[in-house]
Amino acid sequence: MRVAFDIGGTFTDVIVLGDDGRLTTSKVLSLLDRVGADIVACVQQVCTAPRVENFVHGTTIAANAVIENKIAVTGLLTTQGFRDELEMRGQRRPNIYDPDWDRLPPLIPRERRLEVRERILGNGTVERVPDPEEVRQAVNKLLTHGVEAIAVCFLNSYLNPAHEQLVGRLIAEIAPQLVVCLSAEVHPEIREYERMSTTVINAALIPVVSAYLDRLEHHLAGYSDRLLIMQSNGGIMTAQNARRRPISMIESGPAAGVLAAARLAVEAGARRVLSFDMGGTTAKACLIEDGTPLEKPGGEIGGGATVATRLFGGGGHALRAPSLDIVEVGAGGGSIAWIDSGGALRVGPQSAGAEPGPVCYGRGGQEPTVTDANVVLGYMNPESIADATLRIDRDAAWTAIREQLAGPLRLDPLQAAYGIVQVANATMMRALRAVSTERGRDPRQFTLIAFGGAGPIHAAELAGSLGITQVYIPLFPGLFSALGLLLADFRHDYLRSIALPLSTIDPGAILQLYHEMEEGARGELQREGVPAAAVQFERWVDLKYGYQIAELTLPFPSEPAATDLRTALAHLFTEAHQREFGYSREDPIELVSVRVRAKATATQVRFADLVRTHLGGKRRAPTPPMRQAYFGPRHGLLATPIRRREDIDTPVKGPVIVEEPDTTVVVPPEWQIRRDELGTLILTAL
Amino acid sequence: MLGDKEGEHMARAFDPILVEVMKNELAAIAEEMAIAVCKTGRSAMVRIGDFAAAVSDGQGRLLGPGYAAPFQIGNFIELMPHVLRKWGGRWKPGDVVVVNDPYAGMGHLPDTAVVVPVFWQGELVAFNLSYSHHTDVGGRFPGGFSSQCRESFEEGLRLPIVKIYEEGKRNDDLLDTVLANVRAPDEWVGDLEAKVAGCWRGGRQLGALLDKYGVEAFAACCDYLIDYAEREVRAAIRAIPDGEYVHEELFEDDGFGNEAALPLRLAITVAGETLTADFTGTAPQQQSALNNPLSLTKAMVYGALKVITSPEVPVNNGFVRPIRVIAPPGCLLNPLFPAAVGGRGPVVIRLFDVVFRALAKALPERVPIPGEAGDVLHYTGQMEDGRPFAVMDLVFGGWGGRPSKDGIDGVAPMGFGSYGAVPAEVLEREYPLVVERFGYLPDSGGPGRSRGSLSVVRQWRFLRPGHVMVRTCRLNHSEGLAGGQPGGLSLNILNPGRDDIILPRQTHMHLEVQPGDTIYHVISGSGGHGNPWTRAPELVLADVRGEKVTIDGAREQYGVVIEPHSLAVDWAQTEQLRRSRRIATRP
Repeated sequence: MRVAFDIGGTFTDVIVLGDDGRLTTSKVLSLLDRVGADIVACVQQVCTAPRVENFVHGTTIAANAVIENKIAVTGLLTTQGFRDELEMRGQRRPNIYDPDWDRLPPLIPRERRLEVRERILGNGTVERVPDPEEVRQAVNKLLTHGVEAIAVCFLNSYLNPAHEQLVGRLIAEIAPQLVVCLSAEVHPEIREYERMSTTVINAALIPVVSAYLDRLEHHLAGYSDRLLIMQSNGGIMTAQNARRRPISMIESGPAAGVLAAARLAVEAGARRVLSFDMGGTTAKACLIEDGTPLEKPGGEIGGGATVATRLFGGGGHALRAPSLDIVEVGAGGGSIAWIDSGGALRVGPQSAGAEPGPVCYGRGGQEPTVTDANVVLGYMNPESIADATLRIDRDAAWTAIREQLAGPLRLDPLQAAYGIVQVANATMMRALRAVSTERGRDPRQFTLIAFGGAGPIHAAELAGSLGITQVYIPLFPGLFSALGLLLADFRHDYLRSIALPLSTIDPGAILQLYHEMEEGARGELQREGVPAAAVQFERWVDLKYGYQIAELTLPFPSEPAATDLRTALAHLFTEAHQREFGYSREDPIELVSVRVRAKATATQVRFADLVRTHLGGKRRAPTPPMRQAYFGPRHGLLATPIRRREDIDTPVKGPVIVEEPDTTVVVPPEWQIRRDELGTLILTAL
Repeated sequence: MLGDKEGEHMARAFDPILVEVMKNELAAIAEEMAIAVCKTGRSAMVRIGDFAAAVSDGQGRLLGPGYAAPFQIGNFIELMPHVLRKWGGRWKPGDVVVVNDPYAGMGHLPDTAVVVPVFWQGELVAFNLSYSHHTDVGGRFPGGFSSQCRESFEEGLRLPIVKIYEEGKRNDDLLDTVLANVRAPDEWVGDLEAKVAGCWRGGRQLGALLDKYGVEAFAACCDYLIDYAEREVRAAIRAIPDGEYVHEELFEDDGFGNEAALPLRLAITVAGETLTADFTGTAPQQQSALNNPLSLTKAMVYGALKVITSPEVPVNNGFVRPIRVIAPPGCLLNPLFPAAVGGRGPVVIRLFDVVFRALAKALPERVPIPGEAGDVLHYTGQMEDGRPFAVMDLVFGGWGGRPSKDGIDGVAPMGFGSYGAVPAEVLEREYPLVVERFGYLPDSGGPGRSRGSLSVVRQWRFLRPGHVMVRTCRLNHSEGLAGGQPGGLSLNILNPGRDDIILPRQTHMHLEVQPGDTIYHVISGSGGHGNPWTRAPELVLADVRGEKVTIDGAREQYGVVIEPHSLAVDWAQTEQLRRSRRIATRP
C-alpha cells in the first residue's frame, strides 16, 4: 500500500493506493502543523494494514517559505566587491513601465552579506588565496547576527571550487552546527548572480524544510519510515535528500500533475500532448512530447509571470534547478470579470480566491467570476457541486453578471457570461501558446490533456480556438496532481559548466566528466535504496552560439566516438537551432554545460489497472436529466443531457455535460465524446 | 501624418469581448517575436536587452501591446511614416526592409530595424517591426556611438530603408556590401536574421489570427486599441492642471570632452486634453555627435508621459495624437543632416529627466526622479592569438527618490527597455577582462525624505592592451526634488591604489590601456525627494544597518544620530539636532 498527499493552498488531497490496486481519495485542510496527523487519520480510515510501503508527498512548503520570507537567518560569504549582486539581480526589473515598482527584498540583507579577499580568474586559475584569519572573522561576524546557515559563493568557483571548499572547512571548524552550502556543490554553473541566488535559497531553506520533514516523519513513522518527496523536475527523492537540496522541491506541486499527464500520454499512445491544469486562481500549461515533459534549467521564484520575467527575470529570486517548463497565467475559476475604462470586458488578474470566492458560492463574494459565468451558462450544476457538499446559488451569479457587466455592456446576461469565458480563455490560451507556438510547435498537432477543478469545463472551447481537435479528460481530473505522485520515478540532475568554445574542448575529458557524474549519481541513488542496476542515465548538453544569451539543452549523442565528438555536437546544435528558431549559421558554438539525469523506476501504477477498479457498474437510467446550457450566439441555449463518466460507453455528440465529483466536463456542439479503455474521456472536434 | 487620419475611419461595430480576445493574441504574437529576437540575436547589446518588437496595422499604425519599452514603440511610431513614404503601395509578400537611418525615423546607426509586411489572402494587413542594437556599423569608432564624430558619414554605414529581402529572396549584394563595411560581420548578419525570423514567425501567427477572426474584426480591433489609448491619454492629460511648466538643464559636455553648458529647455503646455512639449530655447546642434534625432526626441517624450501618467495604457498611434512635440530644426534635439548623432546616449537619458522635472511642477505628488542610466565600457583589442575582440559592458545606477517611496538601488531605469548587466563570469570567460567590483557606494544616494539610489561602482581590470571608451552619462549632480538633495558625483579613476589618476570628466572618454590597468568607475547617485531632515529616523537606521548610509552620513545628511555600538537611533540627540537645524534655517 502506498499513500500520496499533495498540499494545496486550502486543501490537501490524499490518495491511498491499496494492494488491490484500488484508490481511496480524501481531502484534509492544509494546516502544516498537523498535516502529518491528518494524513495518518486518513490512512487509518481506509486501511487495516499495519504498514505502508511509502508515502509520496507533493508540497509547496519550500516555495511558500521563500515567497513569504519565512526562511532561516542566513549569511552570505562572497568575493570582495560582489556582495550586492544578490540584491541587484543583474540590475533587471520585471516590468519596464511601472514607476511604482517595489523590489522584492533579497533573502539576505546587506549586513549579512560579507566579502572575502580572494580571487579565481575566468580561466579557473588562482590569483589570490583567501586568508583563513579573515574568513574566521567574517564567520564570527555572521554568528553575531545569529545565522543558522551560510551560503558561500565565490567568483568563478564553477571552474575551481578550491576556495569555497577551504572556507567550508573553516566554517565547519568554527561553527559545526551551521548549515553550509557551497555554490560549486549546489550548482556549479557559470553566471554568478544565478548561482549565488540558488545557493542562498538552498541554504536558507534547509533548516525550514528539515524541521518540517522531521515533524512529518515523526507522525508517519507508525506506518512507514520511507517518505518520498516530489521534485520540480517531476522525479521523486527521499526526504533525506530533500533536506540537503530543498531547491529541488520548489515546484513540487504543479510538476506532479504534468507528470501524470505524461504517464497517461504514454499509456494512451499520444505522442504530442499539451497538459492544461486550471484551478481557482491560475492555469498552467506544459508541453509533453513522447511522454517527456519539456524542462527548463531554472527560473525565478516570487517574481510573477510577465514576459519580461520569462525572458530576463529580475522580479524574483533566481533559482537554477531543473524543473518542468510549466507556464502559468493568472486566470482561474475565481478570476474576477470587470469592465475597463475603454468599455472592454476584462477578466483577472484579481481573483476572488477561496474566500470570499465566486458570488454563486454564497460566501460573501460580490464580484462576478469565471465560475459564476460557468454557472450562469448552465455548464456547472446550478444547485450544488462536489458531490453535493457545496451549494450553488445560480440566481446570485445571474444577478451579479446582469447588474455589473451585462447592463453596462448592453448585452444579454448569457452573452456577457459567455464573454467572460471567452476572455478568460484568451488569457489561458497565452499559456498554451507559450509552451507551443513560442517554442516552434504547432498546437493543431497536439492533444490537450485537461485537469484541475476547472480545466475540463474550458478545455474544448480552448482547444477549438487553438485548432486542437482532441481533448483528454483523465480519470480523477480534480486529484490528478496527487495521482501523479504515485506515478513518479526517482530522479536526480547533475550539472557542470564548461563554458568553452566547442572547437577547444577535449572530447576525452568531456566523456570522462559524464562518467564521473554518473558514478556520483549511482552512489546517491543507491543511498536512496535504489539497486545500482536499476539506475538509468540520460546525458544532456547545453550548447549555444558564442554570443547568444540562452543555450539549448539537448540530448548528448549516444555512443559518440571521442574523435568526432565536436562535429557530432555541432551538427546536433545546428539542427536543433534550425528546428527551434527557423535558421542556423556556421558561427562558433560554445559548450556551456554538461548535464546528467539519473532515473530509476519507483512504481508501476498504470491507468489501465486503475480503470478496472474504478469504472464499471453504477449504470444510470437510460434517460439522462437535461439542463439548458448556452453555447454562444451561433448555437444559443440548448437542452443538454447531463451524464456521468460511466454512462459514456458509446460515442455521444455534443452538447453534453459530464458531471463528476470533482469537476464538470463540457462538450460543446460540434464536438463528440467517448471513453477509452483507460477510462479517459476523449473529446473530438467534428 | 500618414495612415493616421484622425476620425476618418467609420465607427466599426465594437465588440467588447472580441477586442479583448484579440488584444491578448496580438500581445502574445509581439512577445513571441521579441523572444525569438532575444534568444537568437548575436550582439552583446541584445544580451543586455536593447531590442524590441511590435505590430502595426496595414496603415502603419502601431498597435501597442507587445514587448517594447514605451520610447521604443514611440520610435516605431515615428519610423513608419518614413517607411510608407518610401515603399507605400509597392509591398510584396516576403519583402523585408532594413533601416538604421537617424534621419528616417531611427535613433542612431547601431539601432537597426526591420519592417516586414504581413499579407493575408493577398491583402496587406499589417507590418511586423523589430529592432536591436548592433555591435558595429563601421565608421571611425568601433561600436558607432562615440560622441567625437563630426558628421554622419564618419559614424558608419547608413541604411536608408532598403529592401534586404524581396519576395522572400535575400539581396545578397546589399548584404555583402554591408558586411564588407562593419567590424563584426557575423554578429551583424546574425542579428538581422534573428529579427527577420522573429517577424516572419509573427507574420504566420497574424495569418492564423486572421483565419480565425477575419480582416474586418482585426481592423475593428486595431481601431479600438488606438482609440482606447487616445481616450485614456486624453483623460490623463485632462487630469494635469492647465498651465505652462518649464524646466531647463544645462548639459555639461560638448561631446569632445570640453566643459559646456548646453541648455536643454522644455516648456510643457497643458491645455485641456492636449499637451505640447516645446524644446524651443534648447542649444543648437553640435559639431560633435551628441545630437539627438527628432524621432527619438519625440519617442522619449511619449515614453516619459506614459510612465508618469498612464503606465497601463499602450503607447500607440492613438496615444500620441493629443501630444505635440516641438523641437526647432537645427537644435540639439532636432539636428539637420549630416549632423552626427551616435553619441546622443547621455542626452537621451537626460531628456527623460527633463520631461520628468518639467512635469513634476504640474504633478508634484506623482512625479519621481527617474534615475541614473546606462554608463558603458567599450573595450577593443586583440586576443593573444591575434583575434580581434570588442566587448561592451553596460552598468546602471538606480531610481531617484519618489514622492511616496525611496528610489531603488542598482537597477535599470524606469521606462527604458529590459536592460540588465552582463554577468562578470561571462565577461571574464570570453574577454581579457576582470571585473573587480560591482556594488554600492555608501552615502552616495541623494538624501531626501525618499532617498535616491546609491552610486554603483564597477571596476574593470584589462588583461590585454587595447582601446577603451568609457561613457559616463552624468558629470554633474543629479539634483533632488521638493527639497531633496543631489546624489553623489560620477567618477573615473585609473589604477586606484597604484597611480590613482583621476580621469578627465568627459561623457565619452577614450584611452589606451595596458595589461594590468584598472578603471574604477562610479555611476552618479540619484537625487532624493523631499527634505531629508524629515525622513523617518527608522528608515535612516535601516539604511545604516544595511551599510548604505554611514553613521556620519546619517548625521550630516539626515540629522539622525545613531549610537554606533547598539546601532539604535539616539532619539534625544536626533530631536535636538533636527530642531537646531530648523532654527538655523528659519527665515
